[in-house]
Amino acid sequence: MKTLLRPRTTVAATETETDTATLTRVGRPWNVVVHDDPVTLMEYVTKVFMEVFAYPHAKAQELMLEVHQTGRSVVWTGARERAEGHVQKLQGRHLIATLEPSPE
Amino acid sequence: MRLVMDENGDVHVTGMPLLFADTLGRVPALLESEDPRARERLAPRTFEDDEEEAQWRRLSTPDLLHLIASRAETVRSDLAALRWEPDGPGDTFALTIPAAHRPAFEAALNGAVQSLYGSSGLSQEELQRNPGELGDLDRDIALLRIRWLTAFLGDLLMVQERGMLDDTIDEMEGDDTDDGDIDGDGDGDGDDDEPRA
Repeated sequence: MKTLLRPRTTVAATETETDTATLTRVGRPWNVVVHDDPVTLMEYVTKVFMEVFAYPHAKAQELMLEVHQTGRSVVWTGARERAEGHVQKLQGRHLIATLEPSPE
Repeated sequence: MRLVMDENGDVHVTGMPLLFADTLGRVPALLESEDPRARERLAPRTFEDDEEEAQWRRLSTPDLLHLIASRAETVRSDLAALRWEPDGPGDTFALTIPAAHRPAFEAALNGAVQSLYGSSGLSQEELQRNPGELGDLDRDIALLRIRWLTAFLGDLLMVQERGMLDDTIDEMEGDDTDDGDIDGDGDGDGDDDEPRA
């Protein structure tokens, strides 16, 4: 990702959201993974995470930085149908997003 | 080039240089590109498993392509209102991006950059170089357009926080280092000093 804006806030510790109530009904959880790419602005990624997942800025920024620094980040874990919906929204904004089964 | 967001959330862009206006005008076509390398960036692989991927391509990818086409039309309609500024400093243009179209415009800009990146075949290393250094006119122009569109997307995001922004895309045209103040904050540090993945 390309850097444009500097972080505005201190990044707080966060945890990946899991829709456990839905999981018990439909089986194993799936991970929504966002991958780094060299042309997408970091601030745009943060904004997309806030819009798609309704994450607060600090959490969205932490996940964005994880993508930037490690090459990928599991940004959401939960029921497959919802995971697919999230991936569609991320891909619709041209982030590189994939789906993978979450390790048991 | 100046961006101002009014009380309704509409963004008014003035002083847009001719060459940048030309690049912006290519955004819809970039989104609709049939180049396989561009398509791979616009509709990337989603599953590692081939069967899962085939099902995704059959059921979900058409919706994604429809969304991209819809965004291209939105941007195309806004760009149709691009107007020459008779009292401008030179060959400059003005554009209004309605508040309701801003999300589509932002996504379209990122999509156009992905399309250009894919179809140009530029490497990550080449992205760090300056336009004019690649020894190939088409690739140099692609790199320049990627820089401009990315900078404009950054400006659109920033003007939503600041309300007004004096951009430097016009200055970048004559900047042989091309790592100038594209973050528009006036300190001239640009983005090339920052870490990238």
